[in-house]
Amino acid sequence: MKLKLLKVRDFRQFRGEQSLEISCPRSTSRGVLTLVHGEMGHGKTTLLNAFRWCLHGRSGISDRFSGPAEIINSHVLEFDDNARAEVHLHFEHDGEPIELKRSLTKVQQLSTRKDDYDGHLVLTVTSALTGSTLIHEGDAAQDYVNAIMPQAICELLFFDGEGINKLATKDENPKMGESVRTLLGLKLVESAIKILGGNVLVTLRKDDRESSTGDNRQFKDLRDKKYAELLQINDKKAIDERERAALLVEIEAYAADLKRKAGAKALQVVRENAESRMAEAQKVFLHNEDKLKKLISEKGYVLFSSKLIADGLEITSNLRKDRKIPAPIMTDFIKELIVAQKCICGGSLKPGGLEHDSVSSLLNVAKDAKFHDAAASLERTIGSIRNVLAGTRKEFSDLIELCVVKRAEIVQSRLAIDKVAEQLDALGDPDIDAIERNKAQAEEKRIRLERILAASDRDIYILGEGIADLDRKIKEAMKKSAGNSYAAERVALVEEALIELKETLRRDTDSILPELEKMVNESFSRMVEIPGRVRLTSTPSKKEDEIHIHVSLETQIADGLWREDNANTGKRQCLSLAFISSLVGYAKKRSENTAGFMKAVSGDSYPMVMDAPFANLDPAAKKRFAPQLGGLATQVIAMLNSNHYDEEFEKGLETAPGIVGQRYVLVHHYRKLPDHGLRSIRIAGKDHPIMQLDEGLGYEWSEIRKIS
Amino acid sequence: MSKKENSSRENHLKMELKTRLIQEVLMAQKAVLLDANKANSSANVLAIVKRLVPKK
Repeated sequence: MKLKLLKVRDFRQFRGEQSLEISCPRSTSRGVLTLVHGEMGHGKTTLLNAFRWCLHGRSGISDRFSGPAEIINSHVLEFDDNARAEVHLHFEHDGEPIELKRSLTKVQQLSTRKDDYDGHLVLTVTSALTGSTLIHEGDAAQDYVNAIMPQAICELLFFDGEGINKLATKDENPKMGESVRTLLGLKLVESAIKILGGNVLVTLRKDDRESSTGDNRQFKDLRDKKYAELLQINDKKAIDERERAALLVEIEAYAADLKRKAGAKALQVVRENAESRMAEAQKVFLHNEDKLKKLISEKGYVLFSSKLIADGLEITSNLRKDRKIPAPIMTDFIKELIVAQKCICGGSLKPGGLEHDSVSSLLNVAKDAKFHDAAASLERTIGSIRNVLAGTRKEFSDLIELCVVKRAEIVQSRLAIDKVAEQLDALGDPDIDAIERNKAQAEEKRIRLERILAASDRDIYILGEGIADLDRKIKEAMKKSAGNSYAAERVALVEEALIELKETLRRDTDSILPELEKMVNESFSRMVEIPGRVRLTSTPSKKEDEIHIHVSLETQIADGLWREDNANTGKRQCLSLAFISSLVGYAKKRSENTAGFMKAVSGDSYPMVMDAPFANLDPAAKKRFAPQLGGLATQVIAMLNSNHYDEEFEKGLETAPGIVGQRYVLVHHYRKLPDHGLRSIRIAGKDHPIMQLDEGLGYEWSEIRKIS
Repeated sequence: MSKKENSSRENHLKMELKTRLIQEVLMAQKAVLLDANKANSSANVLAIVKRLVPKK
């Protein structure tokens, strides 16, 4: 598809008829890039939707376009009963010029009938061979458009850049798969298989049976039976082979995953050891803590009375030193003194005398055994407590020491666990055992499938021999009966064509993804500097030959170590662009390089129309991206505002000379100029007005103005 | 022409016929996609087969 011209008439804010010529390198020998500069509200998104509306009506309009039902210019709608909006799109497909016109009348726009929503579509195609024109209208025109540019593809190629990042999400995978199948001609092969294997084969078999007689009919019935069996086995084999291919991919992925995460297993063992060490230390710590608590509650007083003991010992020692602790008193000696009426000082101890009474009193005191015993007992108690204290203190310090050691062990283990956790986190903390288990299960399944496939091959060989034998017999019988074998030949031809088509479809499907993945990665790495890679994986469908594509973005976290990333909007935007441009590039390459019967149906050249394609990119990425714009497709139309376009971007464009073709600026006409907003923008070194005052007019409108 | 050569020629012709059938059917299906008026594609494809292997 080669775009030539877009013409709008009273379409939203575009009043009257205005057109946008589209750069087409082959016809104008100019660049592939058509740039449309415009500020917010001046009609960039409207232009994008003019393409989409023209091709697919209201359902084709992008999600972020407000008021999708209000197509006709509001001023015209209000004052003109014959108001109508029109969009013309001129393009070339397969070398044939096509003019597409969609129009919507006031009555249709205001109607509540669904049939009116999309207005009226007319498609005029001019034959490249004869020059004659063919006109399709309504549904026929829409079918024609759908065949060239299905809506799913249109959404991919005519896109709103601010929403494009969502393509790189799982929800959009079916759309991506569908686009791959359509753009690369696989859906056409499927439809050929469906029609040949359906009504056509049934009719030809009926003809064949009716033209046969006697033995020959029996042979044919038997042959048909065998062939039906062969087809069944072939279909089952194709499913098994796909499953085997998927399993091989799965096993390879597990192996690669295990290789990538080889260090994780060792780290997990280190973590397990540290965890068990910590658990053991915690157990011992808690046990000792209990013992310590018990010790304190039972013998704590001893520990707390140590000062008392020390003081007691000092007092008794001082008393002894001062001889205040009663020394053993010799009762008999005192008695002897009293009897002798003599004191030890030499005085008289006459009864009734002072000395006599004092000595007698002293003697009484000395006779107090309790005092003596108490002093002795105090000394013994102090000694005993001292002994207990020594034991308790040792026990206490031992327990404290053990607790400290165990606590240190716990802290150490915790640190080790945290460190390992950090390393494992970088690896995504994989469940290696589960991966190994899954790999083993996939291996087992694959081996089982290999056996089933070998059995299928055997059956196919035997059936093939049987069919060939019957074919010979049928031919001989035909010769003998001088009948015609054309009916049988037709059946055999269709059967063989069916086998070939199915094989082609399977082979092509399997080869597309790795090649496309390579292209997407190359394109992605040109757009972003961070090490990242895109992985395209497919899940084959068992019932239908459909590819479900999963797109994931991985970033490098260490040498040879990649992790699926929750990419930010900018990265997803680049990924989506990389995917679309690669798919378009792949379709073109396939249309040029495919040999054989697929050549006619494989791929095509497609344009890209993008509104604000890199809204979320940083300035450096924008500059890098600018020269890539022209390489995204054979034709690129980009709508830019002053946030997307600046001198740096222009410098980026200059690094790819010749890529820019036509340039346009969207000028908005006001009844009264607003107080804020840019009045003009600088494009390639020149200032261009983007606001214009039209006081006499009763309405505002946007103009598409060509500037180069 | 030897029996072997004859068989090889026959196989070659068969291959060519098969490729032509596939090519024509694919193009016919493509045309059907482009033109809703060509809705009866079974009849088109049947006609292609009958043209390629005519009544003898």
